Amino acid sequence: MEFCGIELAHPIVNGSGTYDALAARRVFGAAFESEFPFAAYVSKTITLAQRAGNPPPRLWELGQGMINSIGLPNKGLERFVSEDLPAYATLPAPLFVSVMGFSPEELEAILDTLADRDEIAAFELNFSCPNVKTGNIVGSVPAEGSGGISGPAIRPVALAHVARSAERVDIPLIGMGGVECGRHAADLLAVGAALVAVGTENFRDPAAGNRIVGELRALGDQAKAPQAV
Amino acid sequence: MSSVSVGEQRVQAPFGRRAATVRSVEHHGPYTALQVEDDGGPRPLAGQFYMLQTAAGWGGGEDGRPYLPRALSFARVGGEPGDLRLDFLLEAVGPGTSRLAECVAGEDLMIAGPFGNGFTLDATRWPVLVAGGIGLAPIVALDDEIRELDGVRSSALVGMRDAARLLAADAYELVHTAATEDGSAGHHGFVTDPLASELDAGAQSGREQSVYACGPPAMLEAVRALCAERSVPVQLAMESGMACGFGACYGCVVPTVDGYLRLCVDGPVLDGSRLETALVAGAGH
Repeated sequence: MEFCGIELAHPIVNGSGTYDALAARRVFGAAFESEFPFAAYVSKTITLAQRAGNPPPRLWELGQGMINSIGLPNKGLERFVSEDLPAYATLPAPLFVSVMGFSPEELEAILDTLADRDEIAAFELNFSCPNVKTGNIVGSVPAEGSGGISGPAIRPVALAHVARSAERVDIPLIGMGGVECGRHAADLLAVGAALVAVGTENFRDPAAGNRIVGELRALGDQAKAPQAV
Repeated sequence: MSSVSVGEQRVQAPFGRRAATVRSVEHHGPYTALQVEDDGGPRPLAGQFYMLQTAAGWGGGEDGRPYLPRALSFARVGGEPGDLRLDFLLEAVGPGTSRLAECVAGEDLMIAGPFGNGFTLDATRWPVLVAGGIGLAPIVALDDEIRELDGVRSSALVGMRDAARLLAADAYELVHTAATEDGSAGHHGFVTDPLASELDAGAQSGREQSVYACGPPAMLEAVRALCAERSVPVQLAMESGMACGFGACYGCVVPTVDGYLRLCVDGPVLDGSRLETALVAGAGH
């Protein structure tokens, strides 16, 4: 399949900040690359300056999901380019780099630096991290004990928003929000998403991407199979 | 300070999670020991941990929790890869550990791991093992590893709230000096009292020691400070709330002299010299 001119093996990618492929390679070794769980890999958001992230505790469990307040920890643009980009380039999937600027000028500076890098297939512009105080703040202040909700708890709302967005724009959409299985991915694709991102489910199942791709294919095969009457 | 490099001692995990059947359930006072058949994993190193959830009924507790898997160090490994038996020790203190404590023999878990690094044993020094509470688990595993080595002798100190919890140390046949907070067995007080005596006796006899500890944050901090005062190398197996166990969520960071580290991939065993304090928010829950 094709997304924004990029050839992809299937429609499942990771949500930014829900999978550290370099850490996973340390933990799982070669099997992680031979069974790579995503059609494209979306990096954790990088910013111009290095960020330590928010102080712990950063996580709270909910019945059907979790609240996080991580705060965009990252090495900053310079060390991302020198240390991480060469390593990301060896992953067996196109690289989408997530970036965030604290001003339009900062965003422009980051994109200027990265625009010509062949290792990068696409950029994600992060305008919505709820856990940092910026000019484009959406949401909360972690010091006040709140954060971003993720997981199955948000699935119906996410599905509705993706459906409404698909009706109003003509650009390809990546749908996400509480996807745990192939059926949930199929629902997002059915309302107009071009790709589906898996986030919190990765935490419960490191190979969730592969499982969801398999379940999605099985649903497709079922749909094609002659129906018993 | 330490002559060994702590941090990269690890066995890699199979990619993904896998079913593992509970083989037996034993109770030692308020602690539950689950023995699990892991036919798909490698032999782990003492200090490494697994993410556990039950295959069914994970999410049926109060408020619909638990949702995320729970990180548990293994206490004992038996058998060979392909037919491995892992022991996990837990106390039901929240929705996750309560559900795991309800497990019965024959029930399936989903596990992932081994994750994190293990202890880095410095066999040139006399190992002093220190366990507090449920932190007994990786200390039993380390003691097992030491007993497989020829000619390495060690000391083990175990602190518990009461004699009932101390039953777990006896069940694993850990030869130890005991301390209980209520005085119902062994030394009446914290495990750091016999640790101070042990370190002082070692210093007087010219015996070079190295300390390996796991327990609640306040205990780990007291152990770290005792060792720092005496310039004794110490490795601490720490705890922090974590969602994934393999570096994905960035939730389990602890502050170190090098900034925040993810305990799941850069720990859980940290050299004491990397910490200004082992009192970490989000741990000990």
